[in-house]
Amino acid sequence: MLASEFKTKVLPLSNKLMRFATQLLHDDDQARDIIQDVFLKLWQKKDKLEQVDNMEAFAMRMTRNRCLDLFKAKKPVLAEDDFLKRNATESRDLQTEIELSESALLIRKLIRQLPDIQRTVMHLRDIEQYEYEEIAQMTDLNINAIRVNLSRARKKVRDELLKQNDGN
Amino acid sequence: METKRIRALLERYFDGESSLEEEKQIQRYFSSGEIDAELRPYKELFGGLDELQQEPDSIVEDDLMDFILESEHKEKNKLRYLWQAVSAAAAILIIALLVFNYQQDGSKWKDTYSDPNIAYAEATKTLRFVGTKYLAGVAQLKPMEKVSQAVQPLDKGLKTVNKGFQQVEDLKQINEKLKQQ
Repeated sequence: MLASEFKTKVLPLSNKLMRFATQLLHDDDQARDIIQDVFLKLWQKKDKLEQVDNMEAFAMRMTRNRCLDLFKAKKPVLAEDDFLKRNATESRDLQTEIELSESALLIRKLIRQLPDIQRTVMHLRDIEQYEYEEIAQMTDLNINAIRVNLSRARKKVRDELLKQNDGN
Repeated sequence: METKRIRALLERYFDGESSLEEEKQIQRYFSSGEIDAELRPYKELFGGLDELQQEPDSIVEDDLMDFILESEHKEKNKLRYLWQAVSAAAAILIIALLVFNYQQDGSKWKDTYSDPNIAYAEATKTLRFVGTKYLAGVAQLKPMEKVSQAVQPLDKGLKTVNKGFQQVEDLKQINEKLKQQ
């Protein structure tokens, strides 16, 4: 793949991947690091990318694997460090809060609270709007498992939402 | 009628059975102004999802490309340094091996003869051969005698000069002794 092809075919995926990684990690900085890392790897392998038939699924899958690796390797951080980081993300969240409505933020929060697979599937389907076949390629799940997880995730988000509204 | 259709679609949605097209129809319904009171609780969910779908991009592609090119450059440099270090280490190793081998060759002699008499005879033969070559070489040095003969008068002259210096030195010592007194 030529550099110009990389710029037109691969680079435009960056924001989808960024949203996905942010949804999985809950952390803007880490998500950005992972995206940069993924794109560097893709660039270095660009000669072999011709053989990939679904670039988008391939990149998504790579991003997901990186995020899962990070989960596994997650080490306890120093309390002070953690505090600084939390403050930093809170201020950034405040920035996006201005752009998003209350209900959008609530739904994002509810999706983030879902278990790993449900969160992944619901993000890919209801936010990025992929077909089931594409999600299967990205996650190694079969289509039936995707439907089951998606159904559970949607119902959980709905129930939480109704519960919160009843409380108000 | 519309409410009934949307309710059926919602059922499919929550069972994970709906197609992308059907999900778009649901979203269109909830973003329109006319929502049945019965379905209103779902408005927040689909309104929120719709908003999340249109979330603005947070990555600038040009910045990402810059990052890629910069990192690649750094990595190449790192590789070059590594390569230099490896070749330097290899060179040192080769030199060390050569020196080591050289020293070992000097100290180890292999015995090629089993009978000491034959070895002795061979050694005398070789030494004699070397001896004749040496004598022939020395004979060729004869003309050098003439050179030394020619230099002799100069040598004598130098000797007298040296004597003179010696006397000056003696005088100096005498002078110092006188000073001390």
